[in-house]
Amino acid sequence: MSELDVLEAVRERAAGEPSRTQRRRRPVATGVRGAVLLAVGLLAFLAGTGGWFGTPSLVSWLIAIAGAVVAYRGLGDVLRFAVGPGVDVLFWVLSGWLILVVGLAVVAPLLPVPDPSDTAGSLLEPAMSRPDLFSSHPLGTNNFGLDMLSRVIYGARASLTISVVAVAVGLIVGGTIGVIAGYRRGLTDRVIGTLVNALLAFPPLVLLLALATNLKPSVGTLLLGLSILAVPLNVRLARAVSMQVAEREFVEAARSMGATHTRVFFRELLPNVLPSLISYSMIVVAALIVAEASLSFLGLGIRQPEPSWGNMIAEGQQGVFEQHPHIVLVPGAALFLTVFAFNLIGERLQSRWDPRRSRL
Amino acid sequence: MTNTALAGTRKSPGDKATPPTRRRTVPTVRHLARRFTELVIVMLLASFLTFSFASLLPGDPTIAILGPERPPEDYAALRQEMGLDDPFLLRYFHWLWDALHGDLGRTPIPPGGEVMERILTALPVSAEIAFLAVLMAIVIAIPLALACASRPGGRLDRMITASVFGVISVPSFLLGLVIILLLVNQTGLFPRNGWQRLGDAGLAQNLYFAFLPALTLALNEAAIYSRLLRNDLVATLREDFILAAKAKGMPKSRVLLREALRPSSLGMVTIAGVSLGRLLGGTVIVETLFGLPGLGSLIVKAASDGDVILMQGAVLVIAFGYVVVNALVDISYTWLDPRIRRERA
Repeated sequence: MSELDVLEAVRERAAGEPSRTQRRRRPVATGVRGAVLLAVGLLAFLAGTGGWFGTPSLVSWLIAIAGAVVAYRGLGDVLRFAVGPGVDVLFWVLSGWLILVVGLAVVAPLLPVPDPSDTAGSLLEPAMSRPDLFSSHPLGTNNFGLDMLSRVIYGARASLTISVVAVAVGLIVGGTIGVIAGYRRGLTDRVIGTLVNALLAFPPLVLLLALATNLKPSVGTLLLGLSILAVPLNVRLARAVSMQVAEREFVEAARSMGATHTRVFFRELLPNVLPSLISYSMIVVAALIVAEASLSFLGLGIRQPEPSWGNMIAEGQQGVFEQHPHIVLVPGAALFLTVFAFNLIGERLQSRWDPRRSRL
Repeated sequence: MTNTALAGTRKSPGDKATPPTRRRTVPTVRHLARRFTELVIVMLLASFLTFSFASLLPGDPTIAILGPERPPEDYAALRQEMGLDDPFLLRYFHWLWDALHGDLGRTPIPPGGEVMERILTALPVSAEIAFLAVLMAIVIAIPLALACASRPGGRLDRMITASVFGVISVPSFLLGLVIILLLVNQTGLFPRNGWQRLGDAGLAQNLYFAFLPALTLALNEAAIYSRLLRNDLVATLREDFILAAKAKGMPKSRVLLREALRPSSLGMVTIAGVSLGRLLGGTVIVETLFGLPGLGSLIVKAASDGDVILMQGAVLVIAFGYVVVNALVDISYTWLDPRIRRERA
């Protein structure tokens, strides 16, 4: 046990939290046990969801859920063995998921998956086939025989592109405006603050629906709407953080040494505000993915047959979900895990980078 | 300092930045007056944005009303009749003037009728669902937060914190579908959809239909509240008066319930108030899912019909509701916690 570990243990004990060193086991045994648990768990999960127990029943669901839990525990042990005792398992799992989804979404056109929206081409495919990893449709097919795996991947492509671009717009436009407001104060700040408050008076989905009343549902419309949502959020945060930063000594020092406003903005404020903004952006991405999915779920975002996680879940309405749970569960799980990942990573980054949070 | 919910912090630095007043007027009155001015300005801006979203953007409402294949004279006549050829600002002021008199116009798109009237029939449904959801969320959140705070960093705390994060990440339409599958189709305990008005069918029937939609919203809210309350509780438990209570031998449960809960709950109460305002327009998904005749369904219908007039009215009401509730929460917050009052004075 190194000196740092001891210090860590003492600090945690002082904070009333159980020490990590207490839970440490012999590493190799943990690793082996973890690998076995992971394998068994995955197998049980696949068996439970893959229809090896005949038609879906309560038993197969329970087996699948138990398998997922066991696999998660096993993975935790493997990670503890590979990385160290204090590893944040959830963070690793969700980061892995995010990398997988983003990677697949980027290379989607190169993947050997069927077309996600060509209903004519899928006429001969079985409709509503259940997920089976060893068939040609690992995640099953939908009502039109379209491959669910391919649709989930292309849905990710749409969702992620739109949300990330909108957040980037929000970050650049909103961040700039916010930092200016926080630095200049006075009338500029008042005007911007009031405008932001007015914009935030519209619940996200309501604003998107209002835009959808007049505009044709398209990627461009969605981008516009989501950017309008992202900008005021970033303005508010950038304003609050830069206000704090602007009061610090080094800004005053820079000013008294004759630095121009532009220089202070780029060299002093921006580098200090950016970490908070970026970690917050992860959470905004999560919110925008949900907003886009909600709109598509209502049939006013991305329209069928083009896939989006939201409109795929909407296919499960009117009793389809009860007969064919995978229609909702496959895109639902993808959506949930992605949003969860963005939320959690954003939160972890925030507690590390955001000066306001770390003080708590 | 509106929009507390999204920031997750209770005090934005902007408030601290306002210079201390030197005048000796009653501070609360001054504060109220300033809030009120701000409120009016934000409302004016919100109304302008509402009007712009619906009217300034490209797209012709007359096509939505008459359908696509008509002679151009028909469209021109309708545009004339609806005043669409007037300058944008003039139209805005007409609309605002009428809105201030309680007239949001008539919509020609079936089922038609006075927009104000349709909003007023829909509003109670959404308001009730929102209120019930917040209530249920508080009831769920308090025990969870207490369980977490009794042993911070313990197994239970970590489990609840992780699942809280999970629940926050489940979009309401997904949650709603799962709830329908579990509680409607498996057990048949609750109705799939529909609504009974409080006046027509009595409280029991009304709550019977309102339960599931409110629950769907409440789970998400409860996750947020319990997280906030847990953090506040943990902070409070580090204070000296808790140490004093413990030193005197007060049992742990009593310390938590009688001493720590009340001073810690302020943050949650604020957020609950703010989400009441937010949920008023945030019931869209749940109303669609459960077939409730509320504001959310009204908006979705307006959006899919391209009914600009109805949309404008409904959005205006929602935005106003949000701004007003937020202001009320802010004022009551100042009133609840004397420290803030002094800080501002």
